[in-house]
Amino acid sequence: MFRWITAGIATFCLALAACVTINVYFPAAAAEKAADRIIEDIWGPDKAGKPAGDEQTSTGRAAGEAMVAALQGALDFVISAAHAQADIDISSPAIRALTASMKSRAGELEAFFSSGAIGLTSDGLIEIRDANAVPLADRNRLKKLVSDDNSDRNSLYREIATANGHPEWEADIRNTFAERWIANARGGWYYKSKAGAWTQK
Amino acid sequence: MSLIRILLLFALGVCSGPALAAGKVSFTAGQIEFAGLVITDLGLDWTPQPDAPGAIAFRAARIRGIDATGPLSAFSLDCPALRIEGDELRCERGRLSGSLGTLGVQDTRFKARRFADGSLQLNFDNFAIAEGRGRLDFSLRGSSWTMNAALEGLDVGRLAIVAKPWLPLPPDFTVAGKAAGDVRASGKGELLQTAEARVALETLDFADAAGALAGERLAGNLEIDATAKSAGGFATTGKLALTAGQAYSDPVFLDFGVHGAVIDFSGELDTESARLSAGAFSLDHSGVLRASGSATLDFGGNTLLPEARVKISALDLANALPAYAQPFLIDSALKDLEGAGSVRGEVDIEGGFPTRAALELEAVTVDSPTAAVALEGLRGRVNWFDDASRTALAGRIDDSLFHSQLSWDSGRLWGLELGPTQLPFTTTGRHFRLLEPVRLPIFDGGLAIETLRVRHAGTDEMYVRFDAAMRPIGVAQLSRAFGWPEFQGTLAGSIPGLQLREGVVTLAGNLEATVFDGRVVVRDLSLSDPLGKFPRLHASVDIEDLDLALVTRTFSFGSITGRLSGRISDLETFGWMPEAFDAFLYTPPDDRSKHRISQRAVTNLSSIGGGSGGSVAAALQGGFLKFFDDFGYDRLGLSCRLANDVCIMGGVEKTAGGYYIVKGAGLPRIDVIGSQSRVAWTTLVRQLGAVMESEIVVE
Repeated sequence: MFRWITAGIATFCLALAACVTINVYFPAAAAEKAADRIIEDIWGPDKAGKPAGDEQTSTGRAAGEAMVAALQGALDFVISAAHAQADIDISSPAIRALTASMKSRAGELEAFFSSGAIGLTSDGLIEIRDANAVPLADRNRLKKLVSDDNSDRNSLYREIATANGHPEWEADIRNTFAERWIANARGGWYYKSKAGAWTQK
Repeated sequence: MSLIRILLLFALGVCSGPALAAGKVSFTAGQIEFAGLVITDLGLDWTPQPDAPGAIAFRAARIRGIDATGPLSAFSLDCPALRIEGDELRCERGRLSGSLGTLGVQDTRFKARRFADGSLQLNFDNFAIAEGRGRLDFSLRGSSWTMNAALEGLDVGRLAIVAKPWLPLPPDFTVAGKAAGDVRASGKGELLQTAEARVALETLDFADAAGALAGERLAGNLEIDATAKSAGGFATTGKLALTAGQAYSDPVFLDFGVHGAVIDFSGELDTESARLSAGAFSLDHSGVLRASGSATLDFGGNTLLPEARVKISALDLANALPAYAQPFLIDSALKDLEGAGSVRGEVDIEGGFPTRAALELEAVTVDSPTAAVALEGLRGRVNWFDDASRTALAGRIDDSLFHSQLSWDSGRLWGLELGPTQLPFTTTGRHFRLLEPVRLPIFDGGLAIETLRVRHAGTDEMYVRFDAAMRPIGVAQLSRAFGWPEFQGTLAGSIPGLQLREGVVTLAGNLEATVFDGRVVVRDLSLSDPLGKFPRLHASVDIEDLDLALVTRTFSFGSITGRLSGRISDLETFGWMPEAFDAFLYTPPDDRSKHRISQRAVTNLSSIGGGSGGSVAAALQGGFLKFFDDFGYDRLGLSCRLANDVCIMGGVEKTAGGYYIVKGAGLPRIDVIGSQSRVAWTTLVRQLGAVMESEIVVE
C-alpha cells in the first residue's frame, strides 16, 4: 500500500520536475535569430559581405541546429507535445519603437565604430574606446549618442524579456545580444572581452 | 651645461697644450674620460700663429655622459682666432656644429670668452633648438648660469623633450605645435632658478591619454615669470591670452576663435605633480564670463579643477549656457537649454566638486525646446550648498542665507502658459524644497501648490512629492496647447499625493475633468521613466455622461445626440503610444435624452466597424434614405480590446456575423453593424484619423 503511495508521489514529483524544466528553458537558438533580425534592421545588411570562413561556421552551426531540432522533434513525438520549442517574439510596439530609435542613430555611430572611437562591450552595450580619435567639438555629441544608445539597448533587452512573458530572461537576452552584436560587427570594429581587453575584428 | 663642460675641456686643451712656435699640433684619442664625460674619437688640432695662439679645432665622434641632452655625435668646435690676454681667453668667430642630443643638429657661429675669474660667456648667432633657431647668450660663473634667447620656429613637441628634465609632462600627455619667443633663465648647476618667457603660440595641440583634456590649433600669447622656491616648485605669475583654437576639458568644450580668453594668474607651480595653485587669478572669457578668485589646476590628475573660489562678476547666459551648462545637461531633456540675461555670484569648488554657489539672476530668459520649458523675466537669488557644507554651516550662519527666491513674469511648460510666480525654496545637494505654498497661474486657472519636495534629483533614487489643488483651467486652452481638437469644459479637482519614487510617478487620488457636460476620471495613474525617451503610462479612465452632441461637434465626426459613458481600463502606453487597453464606450442604459445620428456619423461609424465608408455613403444617398438628414437610434456603443497591435472590436450587442455599433430605432431604422472583429491597431488609427480629417459635409 505504502509502496503504491510512494510510487505515486515519485511519479508526481517527476512530472512536476519535468514541467518546471520546460518552463525555465531559455530558447537560445530562437533568441539568437531574433537578435540577428533586430541587429540587421538597425545596422542594415553588411555591404562588405562576410568572409567565407564565417559562412562555413554558420552553415555548420545551422546543420547542428537542424540535428538538434530533428532530435527534439522525435522526442516531442515520443513524449508529448508540451516540449514544443518556444519562440522569441520581437513584434511588440515597444521593441519596434526601440529598434527604430537605435536605427536612427546607427548611421552616426557607424563612423565612430569605424574610426575605433567606440566599441562593443561584452554586456551588450557600447563604450567610448578612444576619445582622442574624435574631434574636440564632437566629443560631447558622441558621449550623448553612446549614452542614448545604451539606454535604448538596456530597454530593448528588458522589453524583449517582458514581451515574451519572462522578465527573468533579461540577462540571457542581453548575453545573446552581446554575442550577436559582435558577430554581426563589421571588420575593423572593436569589441571588448569580459576581461576588459579591446580586440579589433 | 653640457656645452660648458665641453668648452672647459676645449679651454683646458688650449692652455695645457704643448706650446710650439709654428706648424700644427694634432692630438687624437680613441676614447677619453673627462669630468664625467666619455668622448670617443677625439681630435684636437692647433695651428699656432706667430703673434697669437692661433686657430684651434675640436672634434669628437661621440660624447656621452650628459644626462640633460643624451649623447652628442659628430661634434665639432672651431675657433679660428683664439686670443689670450693675461688670464682672459677669447674665441671670436667660432663655429659649433654637430648633433647635440635633444638640442638637435647645430651649425652656428659663436663667440666665447673666459674671464680671469673663471666665468664664461657664450654668444650663439643661430643656435638650433627644437627645430627652431635664434640668438642664444649664455654666461656661467662658478655653477651659476644665465641664459637669454630669442628663438623662432620652435616645435613644441621637441621643446617638451628638451625641457623634460626640468618640466616633465604627465605620462601619455602629448603636445605639438609651433611657437616663437624670448626666454630668459638662470640657474645653478642643473637647477633652474628663474625663468621669464614671452611666447607667441602660433599653434598648439595637446591631449591626455584618455582624451578628457585636449587642445587643438590653439593660438595666443603666454607670458610667464617663475622663480624657484627653496621648498621646491616655482612662484609663478603669468598671463595667457588665447585668440584661436579649441579646447576640451571633459565635458566643457570652448572655441577661443569665437570667444577669446585672457587669464592673469599668480601662484605656485609644482612641476613634479603638474599642479598650478593660483592664489589669485582673473579670467576674461570674452562675451561669456568675467571672473576672479583663486584656483588650482591639476594637469596630471583626474580633475583639471580640484579647488577654486570663484567670484563671477558677469556671466552672459546667451554665450555661457551652450559652453558651460549644456555639456553637463547632455543626458537630460534640458540638453538644448538656451537663454539670455546675466548672472553674478560666487562658486566654491573643493575636491573637484562644487560645494557652494550663491548666484544672482537678472532679467534672465531660459528656453529648452526638448524639455518644452521656458521662463521669461526670471530673477532672484539662488543659495546652494552641498550636503556636507550645509551640515557644517547649520546654526552657524543666519538661516535666511540658506534660502533662495526666484520669480518669473511668464513661462511655458509642455505648452501650458504659466503666469507670474514667486518661488521661495531651499536647495542643498540634490535636494529641493518649497518653503511656502505657491500659486502657479496656468492659463485662466492654475495650481495652488502645497508641497513640492525633490530629493536625489538626477539620480536613480530621485524622489518627488507634489500636492496641489487645482483652480479650474479651461479645457479649450489646454486642448489648443496640446494640439488636440478644441473642446469645451474645465479641468478641476486636485493633484493629491503625486509621487515619483524609484522612477515611477504615482498619484494617491484621481484626476478629474468636467468636459462635454460630463465627467472624466483618471484612476490608478502610474508613469514609469517619466523623463526618459519612452515613458510607460498605466491608467484607467472612467467616462460618465458626456454630451455626444458636443463631442461630435468638436471632433467633426458627424452629428450624434445623446449621452455617452464608458471606460478605458488598463491603458498601457509606451512612449505615449497605446500598447494595450480595454475600452468600451456606450449609451448609458438610463439615458432618456434624444437619440439622433446623422448620415455622416453613420458613414463614419460603419467605416470604423470594417464596412466601406464609400459604399455606405452611396447606399444612404442612393435610395429614399437620402431624404433623411438623420435617424433615430436606440443605443450605440463600440468596444476595443487592444493587445499585440490588434484591436478586438465589439459593439452594444452581438448579431449574426458581427456586432451592433448602432442599434436603430423608429423609421426608417438604420442599424450599423460591425463585421470585423479583429482590426490592426495601425489601420484603426489611420481610419479614425481619416474620419477626423475629412471635410465637414453640410447635413
